[in-house]
Amino acid sequence: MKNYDFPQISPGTKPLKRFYVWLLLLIFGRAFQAVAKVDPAAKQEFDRMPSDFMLDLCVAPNGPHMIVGKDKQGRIRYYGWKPKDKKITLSMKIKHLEAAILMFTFQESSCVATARDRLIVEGDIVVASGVLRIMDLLEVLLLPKFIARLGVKRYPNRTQMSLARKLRSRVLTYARVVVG
Amino acid sequence: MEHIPVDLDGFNARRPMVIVHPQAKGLVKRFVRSLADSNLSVGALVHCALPYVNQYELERLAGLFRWRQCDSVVAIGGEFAIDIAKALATTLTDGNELKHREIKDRTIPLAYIATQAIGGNEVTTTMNLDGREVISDFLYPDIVCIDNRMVGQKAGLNSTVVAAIGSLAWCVEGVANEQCSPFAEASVLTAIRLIADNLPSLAKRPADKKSALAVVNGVAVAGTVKSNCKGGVACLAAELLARETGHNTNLLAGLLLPYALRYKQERNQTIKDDLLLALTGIDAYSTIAADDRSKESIRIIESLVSLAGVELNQLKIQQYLLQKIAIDVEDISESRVSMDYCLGFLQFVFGDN
Repeated sequence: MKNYDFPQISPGTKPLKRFYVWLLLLIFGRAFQAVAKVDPAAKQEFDRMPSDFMLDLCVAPNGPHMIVGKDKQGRIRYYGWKPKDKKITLSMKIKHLEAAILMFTFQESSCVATARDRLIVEGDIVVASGVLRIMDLLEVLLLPKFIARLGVKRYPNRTQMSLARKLRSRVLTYARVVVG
Repeated sequence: MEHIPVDLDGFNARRPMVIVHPQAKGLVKRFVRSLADSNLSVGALVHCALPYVNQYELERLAGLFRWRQCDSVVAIGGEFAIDIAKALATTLTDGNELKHREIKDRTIPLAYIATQAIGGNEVTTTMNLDGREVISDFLYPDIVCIDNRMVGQKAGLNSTVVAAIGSLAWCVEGVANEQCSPFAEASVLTAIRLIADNLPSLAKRPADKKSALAVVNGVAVAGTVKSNCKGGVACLAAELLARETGHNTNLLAGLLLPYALRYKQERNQTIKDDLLLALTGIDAYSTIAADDRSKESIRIIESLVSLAGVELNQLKIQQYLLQKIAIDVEDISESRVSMDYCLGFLQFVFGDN
């Protein structure tokens, strides 16, 4: 039996897709921090979360990661992409890179992705649902309507989110994402 | 397919041995590409050389499996590729004696990736080993993956159509079987619907991925029926005739099916309305008068079976076999199908030809 009859194969990598997901998670992380300060609904959602809240949203098995949590003062902060030495209370793993690409190119909303068994949650489901609601809100605020509609289950109408609130939150979130 | 590394990881498996059906050779690249950025690496890629499972080959592969420190088996394609994978996974588990068909356990995870090379026995509790059928609950694959990247090839079309017709026969007879388990009953109608709706378009346009995917899915669901339900006279007679003549079991079962239904009708036995409902859907079903439903069901099944492109008289079944087959059918059906009924049926079929 010769080695070359039955080859061993190591899987390759997808650096471009990986970089894209890393970049999106970076923007989302900073946006999480920003929206907690500027949007009343997001603020309310974050207030309901426990004081030791530390979220690790990542792509299994090897990342990239997005760490967001509450600091000692109870403010939402983006802690970067290294989960080492962080006390994670809620881990949300997207099962593989292709699923992350579907989610972050908005071909699949977070609801559809959950229904298609693409997410693994370790931690409190109630808090995880809150995180998904905030992600939907961020998509509405950060993206133009025709893209955001693909990413959320239902795009909020005027009665659910007034134009003034949307514009104000959008401008302030963008400013804080860029400035910090 | 990207789910496979995640699901195998759940079994603590990260180094599978991959068994590839010859018709699925061109699909290996797609499988390997889907593993990118996962922790899974292929321990050994084995292209099936023989169209059957042989004890000597099996021991060779078991040696390779241990040497390369593999921990799971993935089959790309059905028929003998999945049979080899099932045999390998069971032979590597301590306590099993495949020579004596004793399977007590299986600790090696088994994944099956469906392609158009299918035989209908992939997602079942059976396998073919050295020409013998082995049945065990441990032969059911742990992971079944049906992915649109792995179907839609012209090469496997004939085997897909024949397997679909065979699975249809099992399901149609499953509908009629009173002893069918509720779990199988739930799958029967889904499988019939998937096959009946999509087989004609697949036969017309082999590259139609949507139809190919649905048919492969239907055959996989029919596997559940096969594992939980005993076949009727057409399936049992087909199995035994195939053993005697060497023809394809699925093809024979499909060809015998319309005759089995017509024979039933002639003896004033009822054909369930559910069958037509599954074959046509609720809209067409509700436009057909209750008295015509059996006839319409048989007509649709005949048109589906004709897609195989083979007539029963082309198979040249010898008359002298019929008596023996009838006796054996009574035996293997545990007297559910009487010898007289089966003989009458076979004479009805081959008297026609």
